[in-house]
Amino acid sequence: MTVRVLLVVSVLLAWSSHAHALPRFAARNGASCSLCHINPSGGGIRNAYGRNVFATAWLPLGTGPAREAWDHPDSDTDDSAPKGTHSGGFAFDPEINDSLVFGADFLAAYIYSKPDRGPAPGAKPDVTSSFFLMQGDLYHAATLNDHVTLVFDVGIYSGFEAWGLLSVLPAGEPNNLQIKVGRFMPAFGIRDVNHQLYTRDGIGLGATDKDSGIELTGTLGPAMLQVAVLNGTLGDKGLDTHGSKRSWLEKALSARASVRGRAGKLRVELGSSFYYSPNTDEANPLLAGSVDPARTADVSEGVDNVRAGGFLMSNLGRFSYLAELVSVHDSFKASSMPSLTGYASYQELSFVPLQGLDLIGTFEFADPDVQLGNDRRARAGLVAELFPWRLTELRTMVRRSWDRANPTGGAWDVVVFTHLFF
Amino acid sequence: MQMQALVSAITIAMGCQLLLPHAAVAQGADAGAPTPAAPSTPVAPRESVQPQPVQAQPVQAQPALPRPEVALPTPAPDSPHQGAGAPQRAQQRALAAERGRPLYLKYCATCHGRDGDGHGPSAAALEVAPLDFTRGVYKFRTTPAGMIPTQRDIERTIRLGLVGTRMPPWSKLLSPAEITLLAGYLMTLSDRFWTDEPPPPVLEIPAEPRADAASIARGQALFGRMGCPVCHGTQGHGDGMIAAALRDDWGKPIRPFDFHSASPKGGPAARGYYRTISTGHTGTPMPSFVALLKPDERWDVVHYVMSLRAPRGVLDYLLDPAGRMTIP
Ligand code: HEC
Ligand code: HEC
Repeated sequence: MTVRVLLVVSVLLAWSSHAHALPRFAARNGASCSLCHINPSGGGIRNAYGRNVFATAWLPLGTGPAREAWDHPDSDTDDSAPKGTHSGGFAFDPEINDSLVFGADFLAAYIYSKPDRGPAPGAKPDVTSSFFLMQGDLYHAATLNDHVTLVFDVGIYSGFEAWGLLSVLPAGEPNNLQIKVGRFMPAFGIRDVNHQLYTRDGIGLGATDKDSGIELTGTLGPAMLQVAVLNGTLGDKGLDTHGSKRSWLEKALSARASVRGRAGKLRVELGSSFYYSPNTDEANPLLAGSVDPARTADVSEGVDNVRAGGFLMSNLGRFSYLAELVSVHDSFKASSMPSLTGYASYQELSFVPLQGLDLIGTFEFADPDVQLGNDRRARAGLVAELFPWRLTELRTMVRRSWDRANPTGGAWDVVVFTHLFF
Repeated sequence: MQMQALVSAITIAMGCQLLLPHAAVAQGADAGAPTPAAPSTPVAPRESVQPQPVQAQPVQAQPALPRPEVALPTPAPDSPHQGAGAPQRAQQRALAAERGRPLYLKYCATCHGRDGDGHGPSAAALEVAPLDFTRGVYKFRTTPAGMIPTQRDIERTIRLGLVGTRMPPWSKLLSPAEITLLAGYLMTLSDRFWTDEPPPPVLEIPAEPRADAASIARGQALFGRMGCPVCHGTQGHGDGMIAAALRDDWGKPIRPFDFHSASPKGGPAARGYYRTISTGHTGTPMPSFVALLKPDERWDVVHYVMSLRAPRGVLDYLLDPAGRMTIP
């Protein structure tokens, strides 16, 4: 029984806490994440454009006037219009004053998950069917002036993020240098809403994988370069306390570079990312399964983690296509341990039949250890995402996974959620 | 063909200074001191442009009566056009600024800039740059080229947005009263709205005559004669001889409208075309034809250019730019 409960809890936890960022919106806008988010790497609290313009005017269903409105353009009683958010009655405004803003992402979900097989031969599959809180993040941002913003995010599952952002020129300038100091998620690849992806959580970039350090973001028109020096202690560890095992100078390095371009109606962003953390005491999550359980002591002698990847974000009219491929590589200090290499990939094609409705197909593939032929896994999902009115998202997702290495095999998952955000 | 277009271009340039009617105004606009706004295109005497009646009626208190066809300017409670003395004007301006600023900062400043200069933090990411409100130069007007718009004009743009750009339609997001406050606020950003000058005359848009084949044929002839092809191309694809070289007053390249596309910025309705052709887009090379074409001739031209609209196919739908205003 307890095993069962643990299984269910682990399924739910795996789903919990999406870090909210929708890279396909960036692709659609032909812009970087910072068009809508305070964080130059995207995710978390939105800026004035994200909150008051994009999420207000360009995201929900039916914000545009009826065609007839132009025939009588000077009548100010558009009866088809829901009355303005501020006119009369209760108006909710997370902007406390000129500098202080709140933000939030609350996701309440229902999940149904049915693995192909039971945990033991002959056992029935353990079906999960449950309501749960998938994400609860409360953001605070204080804009001290045109150059300094402080952000604090407390999450129910995702721990906390706290950082200050210093912009040499005011945010939004096409050529700029920004310095982020504090605790945050290092910039890497496509920061998707679904942290559960093989290319996110799968390679150690899950919702809790935040680290402390300094990140520089340089933008030059459509080109962007981010470089960070970090503790290399991803996850909930706060301090770099590896002590004698590694020298105090041994820090993790992360870098992400991207450039946007357009040809006619086609908009493309190409980028690559890199992460290097020497002498850690854990293998990359993607490769951990390939480490002989009898040799965990050897692992803690030291591992050099490397992640390198490339990504593409593109948009053509109502279609957006995102793709990412990441390779992870661990080399172990223990002499007899062979180094390990694996791959994870993500692709997403989305279509917006009308403003407020997104239809999305996703495909993920991972080969955790290239030397093993029997550990590949894949997932394909179909998502319908509806933004019926401001600050609300309803999403349904059906997903099928195939996993050779997992004793319970693949699974069918259905997830329905409501997402309130501001 | 090309010769003919060139001749029309020269005729226009010499006869009416239409090719650059905007330059002089835009430069004077910023002067700071309350300078009278001289229209660069004289309003033809035969035109049915009438001085705007001055009425002070609070917008919020108005019952939703059917409005007259002609867009009468409705001064807001704090409308500057009230013939008030300078101290009163300053007071009204300060009040309008105070009332509208919170809304402006919340919804508009990220593109139009905190000070209304068009340099908001998101402006760099937009394909079509937002306007600089401090110059008091507006494109979408019922007033003569170069003149300040009516408050009603500004409200219309805020309410309906600008098609094909990222200027959102706010009619379903903000209340009419809020839109009035915002328009009032934009007017406080430029001295041009606060002078002793009488308010500019307002274009009357007469009822649209039938768009029959004869009207379209007349419109086609006028289209060539007026030199539209020089900029908009002989087939109206926005690829005229000088199209590639056109810039707006801010020095940014600007493309003449392609009549085959679904809607101009000012909306898909015939009266929007009529307004643009009559008053032009001050701040851009798009001239005003109020002095050159009689109202029914303007309707003929409208009928002709609207007849060029290509039916929208599946491909057009699929390639609609997302995140920008498209036509329902
Ligand atoms: C997403 C960016 C964006 C936001 C937000 C925005 N605008 Fe605009 N706005 C534009 C752009 C771009 C144009 C210029 C289009 C053009 O000139 O072709 C424009 C033009 C205008 C014009 C037209 C002036 C003329 O030439 O006649 C008015 C009026 C206006 N905006 C008012 C507002 C108000 C009021 C708000 C806030 C409620 C607002 N805008 C919010 C982008 C924006
Ligand atoms: C000197 C060049 C020039 C000439 C001549 C010219 N136009 Fe334009 N026109 C433009 C430009 C530039 C724009 C784009 C303005 C903008 O985007 O704000 C434009 C835009 C338009 C629009 C679209 C307005 C909107 O709301 O987007 C219409 C309609 C139009 N022109 C009609 C005409 C007609 C009809 C004629 C001839 C009678 C004409 N134009 C002559 C340059 C020109």
